Amino acid sequence: MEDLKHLALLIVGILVAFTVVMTMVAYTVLAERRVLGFIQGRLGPNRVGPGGLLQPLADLLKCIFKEDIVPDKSTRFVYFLAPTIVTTAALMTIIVYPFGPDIHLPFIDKTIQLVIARFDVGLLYVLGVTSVGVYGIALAGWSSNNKYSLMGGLRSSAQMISYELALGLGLIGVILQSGTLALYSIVEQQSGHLGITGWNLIWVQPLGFLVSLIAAIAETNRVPFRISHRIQRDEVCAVLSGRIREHVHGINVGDDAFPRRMERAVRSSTSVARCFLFSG
Amino acid sequence: MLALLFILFAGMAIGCAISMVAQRNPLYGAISLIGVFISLACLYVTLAAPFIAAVQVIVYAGAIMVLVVFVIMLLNVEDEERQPMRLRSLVPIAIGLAAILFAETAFIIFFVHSSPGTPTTNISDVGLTSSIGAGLFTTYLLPFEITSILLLMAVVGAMTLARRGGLLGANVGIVPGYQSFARETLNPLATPDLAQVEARTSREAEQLLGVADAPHARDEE
Repeated sequence: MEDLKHLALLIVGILVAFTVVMTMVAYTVLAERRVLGFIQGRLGPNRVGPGGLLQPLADLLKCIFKEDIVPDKSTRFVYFLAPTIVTTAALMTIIVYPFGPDIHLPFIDKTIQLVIARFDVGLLYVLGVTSVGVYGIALAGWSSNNKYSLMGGLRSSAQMISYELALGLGLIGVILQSGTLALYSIVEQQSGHLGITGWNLIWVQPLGFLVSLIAAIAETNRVPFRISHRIQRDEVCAVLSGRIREHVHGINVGDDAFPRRMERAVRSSTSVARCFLFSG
Repeated sequence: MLALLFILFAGMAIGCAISMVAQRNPLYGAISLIGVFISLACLYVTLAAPFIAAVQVIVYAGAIMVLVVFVIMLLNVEDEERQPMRLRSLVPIAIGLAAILFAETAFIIFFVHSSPGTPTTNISDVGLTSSIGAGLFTTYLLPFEITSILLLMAVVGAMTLARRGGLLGANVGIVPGYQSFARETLNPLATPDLAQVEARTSREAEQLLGVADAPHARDEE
């Protein structure tokens, strides 16, 4: 019975964290579009809700109602598996994120932990899940039955596995500094020093922070590492981003673009930021 | 609870293993093998070895299998054709040996006395990262250093095999795609000038400059 209660609490925690993270991702994308518009001298999406706040909902509805284009060869399973792998890998990391310190509820006299799973090897778990997420890109490129898309997928996944190494090495300084692989412990060690001065990892490990940040940005194919988006018009380097062309319709746009954006929002903003900047 | 988890992960591992062997498409086999490695990592967690589980995912599923998947995709390995079965006489022998294996397993389960009761959760310290680190750098330091040298040998071997020959010097790197390099790199006797040669491969560049019939470093390989 105790096990079942614990399990139910975990499931509730997962659902809450999932909702929070997905909403955060959706509105981070909107904010990014507005800011990019401002940088480029135009307005971003501002028509749908007040200030464009319902834009993610509108995008979701549009993607749902678009036609799915599926290949007619026998690679349907992999075609639908690839975005699933990317999404799952991006979301599996949130169970080790310490969203906050323990909360004491005064009336019920209970303590709620804001970490879904207190792994002792939390950082290694994040690195492992990141490594598995590479398959999504490679399989997406392969399953589109198109050699340009295959090359694009392979190049993009080659970039991702190259920067995994840099990400791991940048995090070694954090591990040595904190003496533990557990994310909640790393974060707790930075708390209590009057806020920003407690972020000793960004002051003590500036190079590690920079390296990890750049590697995380490269991992999630953000600018300037957007190989998977670049269409080189030069006929010599004809690496068309065919993966995008194949997945251009329907929910697969959502499946492919949103997981990548979600991955980058989840990873590059939270993974590095929370390891280095979170102060208790 | 632990038995349920074991059955789940072991079943997943066996299912993925059978799928890997039975698939005709090699990429599906590779994906099934990834499933096997991940279920093995889950089994390691139930055995109180979280570090080994994470390293299994990172190294096996995340690096080695990525290499295998790359090779399958780049070489465009075809599906296996269904071939007529040969050596039909081996089938009853295989069935007999499998029956012996099952009988041995049943014997061990039912007749060999093990510790009573279901196994409790292992709360030992052996599988934790700090224990592994402490052992690795004190008791097992020599195997650790030898393993590092082994990995270094592998890296040097890979670099040696992948190095391209040709008239390009040792300090010229090969970048896929457009290559542009100075004329005197290809023909050391030419007067150095700033005009650049643009070609798609080093062989094409050599042809453009008229040095294609010169001896190549790769002729000696």
